[in-house]
Amino acid sequence: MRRSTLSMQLYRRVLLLLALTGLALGTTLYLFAEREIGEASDAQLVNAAQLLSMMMQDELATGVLVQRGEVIGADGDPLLTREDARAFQASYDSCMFAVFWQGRLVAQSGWGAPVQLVPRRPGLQNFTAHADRWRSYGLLDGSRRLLIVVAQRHPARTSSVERLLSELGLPMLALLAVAMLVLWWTLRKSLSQVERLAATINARSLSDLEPLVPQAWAPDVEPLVIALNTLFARLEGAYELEQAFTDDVAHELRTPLAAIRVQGQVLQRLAPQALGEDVTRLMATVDRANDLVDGMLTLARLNATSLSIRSVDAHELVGEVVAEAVASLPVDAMEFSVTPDHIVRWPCDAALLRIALSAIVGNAIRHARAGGRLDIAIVRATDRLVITVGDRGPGIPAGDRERLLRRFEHGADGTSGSGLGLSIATKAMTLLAGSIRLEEHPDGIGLLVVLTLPALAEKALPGTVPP
Amino acid sequence: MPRLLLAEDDADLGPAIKRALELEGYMVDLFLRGDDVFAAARANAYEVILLDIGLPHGSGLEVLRDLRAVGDATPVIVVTAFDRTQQRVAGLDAGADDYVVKPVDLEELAARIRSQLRRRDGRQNDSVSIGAVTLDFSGQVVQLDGQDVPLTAKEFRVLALLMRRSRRFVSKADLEAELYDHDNWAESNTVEVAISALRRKIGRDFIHTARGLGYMVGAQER
Repeated sequence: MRRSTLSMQLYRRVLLLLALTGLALGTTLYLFAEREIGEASDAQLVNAAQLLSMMMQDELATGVLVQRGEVIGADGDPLLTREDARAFQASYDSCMFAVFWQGRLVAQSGWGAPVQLVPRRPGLQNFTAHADRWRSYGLLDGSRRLLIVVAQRHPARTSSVERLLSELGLPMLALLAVAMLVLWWTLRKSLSQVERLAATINARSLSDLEPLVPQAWAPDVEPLVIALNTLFARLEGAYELEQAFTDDVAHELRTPLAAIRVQGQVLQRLAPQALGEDVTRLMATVDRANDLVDGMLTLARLNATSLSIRSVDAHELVGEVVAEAVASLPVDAMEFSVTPDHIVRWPCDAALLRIALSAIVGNAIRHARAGGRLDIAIVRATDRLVITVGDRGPGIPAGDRERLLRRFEHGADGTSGSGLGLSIATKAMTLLAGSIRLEEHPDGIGLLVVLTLPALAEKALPGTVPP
Repeated sequence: MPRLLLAEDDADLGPAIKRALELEGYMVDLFLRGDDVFAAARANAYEVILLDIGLPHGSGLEVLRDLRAVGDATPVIVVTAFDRTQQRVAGLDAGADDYVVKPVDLEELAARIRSQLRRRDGRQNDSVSIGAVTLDFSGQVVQLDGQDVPLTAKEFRVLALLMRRSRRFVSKADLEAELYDHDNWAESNTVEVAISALRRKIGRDFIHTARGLGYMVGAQER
C-alpha cells in the first residue's frame, strides 16, 4: 500500500468536506432560487393577466360583449385595441394571452402556443404544446363569464436560473481554488512544527540526550515531545548500563590476561634457554589478546562518547601519539617525521582525534615497520583539516581497502593485530563528522591514510549519524 | 629485604605477581579480602602496598580511605582493570600514590615500586631515573649504570629538560630557549652539538628524534 503523508490525508478529507458542504449549499441555493424565480414568474403572469383585464375594463363597462351577444373576431376587435396589444407585448414580451367569453375565444395575442391547447381554467396551470412546457394563469372576472389566460414558456422561466448559475459558477470555482490553496498552505504551516521537531532531533549529537522543553512546542506536538523525552531517558539508562557492562568486561577479561602475562614473565626468567622462544611467542599472543580487549573497549566506549569541541593543536596531538609510538619501539626501528613543525589549531574533539591517530599510527607500526619510515603531514584549509599518514610498508591492494575499514578484518600479510585499529579510526572519524580514506602512497610504495576533518562549531556537533 | 603487601583476589593473578616480585627480591604477603588487608597493614610495617580495587569484603578504595583516615601513610599503588580517567582520579583522591592498569607489565610494576621506595627515602625531588640513566638535579650529576658521566653545563641542561619532560617530544626551539636563558647566546647548531655529545657519552639509543617534533627520552622508568 502506498503511504500518503499525514498532511495529504488531512488535506483530502478537509477538501472532500469542503466539496460536500459546497454542493449542499449550492443545491439549497439552487432550489431556493428556483422557487423564488418560479414565484416571481407566476406573479408576472398574474400581473400580465391583471393588466389585460384593466385594458378591457372600459369596453366591458360599455357592455360591448353583452349588448352584441356575439363573438367578436381577432381583427377589428373592439375589446382589445392594437395599441393595447402592443403595450402588453412591450411589458411582457415572453407572455402570450387568450381571452374567452363564456368559453368562446374573443381575443388572443397571435403568438405563442396554439389557443386550443391553452387550459381554459382559472388559476395557475401547466400544459404542453409542441414539446414545450408552458405555464398559464387564468383570471376570471366578477361576472364569471370573462376568462383571461396568460401563458409563458417554461424554458423562459428556467433560463433565468441557468443565467444565475453561469454567473455564480465561475466566481464559485475561483473561490474553491483559492480555498484549496489557503487550506494547503495552512496545513503545511501547522505541520511544519513536526518538521522543526525532526530537524531539532537530527541536529543533535549522538550523545545529546537532554530532554526537550515541552513549553517550547505547540500543544499538539506535546505528546510527541513527551514521548521523545521518555525515549531519551530510556536511552540514557541504556548507555549507562552499557558503560557498566563495558567496565565489567574490562575487569573480567583483563584480570585473567594479566595473570597469564605475569606467569609468562616469571617463566621467561626461570625457563631454560630452550624454552625462551616459546615463552616469547606466548607473551606475544597474550599481548595480542590484550590489544583486542583494549580495541573492543575503545570501540564500545566510542559509542558512548560525548563530544567536547574546542580549539586543538593538531601538531601537539600528533607529537603525543608519535611519542607514545616511539616509546614502544626499539630505538631507530622507524624514522618519524611531522610537517609542519609548528602549532596547527583546529576546532575538534581532542580525545577522538587522538584515538583515530593512535589507531592509524599503531596500525602502521604493526604492518609497515619494515618500511622504516612514517611521514605525517597536517594540512589546514579554510573548511577542513587534512592529516595524512604515509608509511613505506607493503600497502593495501585497492580491492581490500574498503573491507579493512570494517571490524575484525585482517590484511593479507597474516600479521597479528586485533583487526580493530582501522575500524576504531573509522568510528572516531565518523563521530567527528570527518572521513578516512586509504590510498596508495604517491611514491608508489606503501599506504597513505588520509583523515579529513570538517570545522566543527564549538560544543555542538550538527548532523551526527548514529551508528 | 623490602616487605610488600599484595591485595589481589584473583586466584591466578595474585600468586603470579607474588612469585614474580619474590624473584625481584621482595618479601610479599598476599591477601584476598579487603578487611584482611586493613588488619595486616595496621599490624605490620610494609614498605609498599599493592592494592586491587575490586576486593571482596571492603573494596580497595574503602581500605585505602580507612588506612588514610587512621593516619597510615604507607605508599599505596592501586592495581586495577579500570582505566577510565574518573576511576583513576577516584583512586588518587582516596589517597593512592600511584596507579597501574592491568594487564600489568612486571618491569613497570617493579619500577613503580622502586620509585615509591626511593620517594620514601626522600630522594624523589632531586633526581630522576630513566632506563640506566639517573640525573641528580641538585648535584648536577648524571650516572649511567651507577657510573658518573662527565657532562658540560650545556649538555646537562639539555638532558635535564629532556628527562623532566620524558616521553614527550621537546622542540629544538624549547631546547635553544633553555640554553639561551643561561648563556645569553646560542649558536644555531648548539642543540645538535649537545645532543650528539650526549649520544656519544650515554649511548645513542637513549635520545629519540623525529623530524618536525624534536627530541625525546622515553624508555620506561626502571
